[in-house]
Amino acid sequence: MIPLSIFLIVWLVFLAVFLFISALSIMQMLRFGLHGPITRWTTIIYIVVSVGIIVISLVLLSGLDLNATIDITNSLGDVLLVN
Amino acid sequence: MMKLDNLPGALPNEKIQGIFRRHWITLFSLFAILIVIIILPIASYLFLSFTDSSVLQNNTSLVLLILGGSAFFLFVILFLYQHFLDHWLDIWIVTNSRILNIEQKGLFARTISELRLYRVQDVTSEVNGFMRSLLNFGMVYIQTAGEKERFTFEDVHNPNKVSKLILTLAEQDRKEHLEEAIEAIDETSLDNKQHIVDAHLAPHLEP
Repeated sequence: MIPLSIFLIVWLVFLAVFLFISALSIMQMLRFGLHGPITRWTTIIYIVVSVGIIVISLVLLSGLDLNATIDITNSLGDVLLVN
Repeated sequence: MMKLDNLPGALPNEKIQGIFRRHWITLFSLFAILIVIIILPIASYLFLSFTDSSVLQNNTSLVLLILGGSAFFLFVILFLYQHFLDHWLDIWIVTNSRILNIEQKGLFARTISELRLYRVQDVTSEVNGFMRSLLNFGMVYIQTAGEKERFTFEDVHNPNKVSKLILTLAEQDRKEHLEEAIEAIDETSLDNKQHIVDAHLAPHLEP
């Protein structure tokens, strides 16, 4: 039995890596990109879409029970039986 | 952000004559693949909602779907941005006295090379392949005096026009830097003579 919160922790680790690489990329773009609307707007769009995905995920997750557990052996058994 | 009136190592009275990047179609191919990749999970979700909606009402499945889906979309947008960054930060700037080649390699490697126009000896444009011919983009190779490696503009739009622009500007710059240009050509010819001497006489001089 694995609690669902484990998956949330894995997701949070992924999110931290994503935020770190994003910060580096944005820094590179703003430092070395040519001064102009395309450089500015692509960065703004990237930030808005990324924040949008994260916020939507958190809003959707807030309505769900993360203390529930998942039984891997039963789930695998179901999958194998179905197939 | 890099401003065009503040180029790295700017020279007095330097004016920008052209800014070149890879053709947008080189980005489009990747975007097309990514659109398909983005459509796949959405199509799967729709398929599940029409066929087996119980999966989407189950708390466990929903948590896993949301976490997996958001990780997937975050990865896709990061990949897209990285690829755009690589495309956007690769740039060739032609001014009235030099060519700047600014190349971004990954996230941490960046190369800036510079070439004085009066050293340009030969410019070759190449349009190779169906898509390149159709959309008129290709390579521009610039051969300089005394250097074995060529300076290359990759997949730029209208390479023939670019090569003509560089040749014209090089001609003008050579007139302005006549003495330096002659020295550069002399260096090249001396180098070439030395190579010829080494290649032909060295074997005979060996005991």
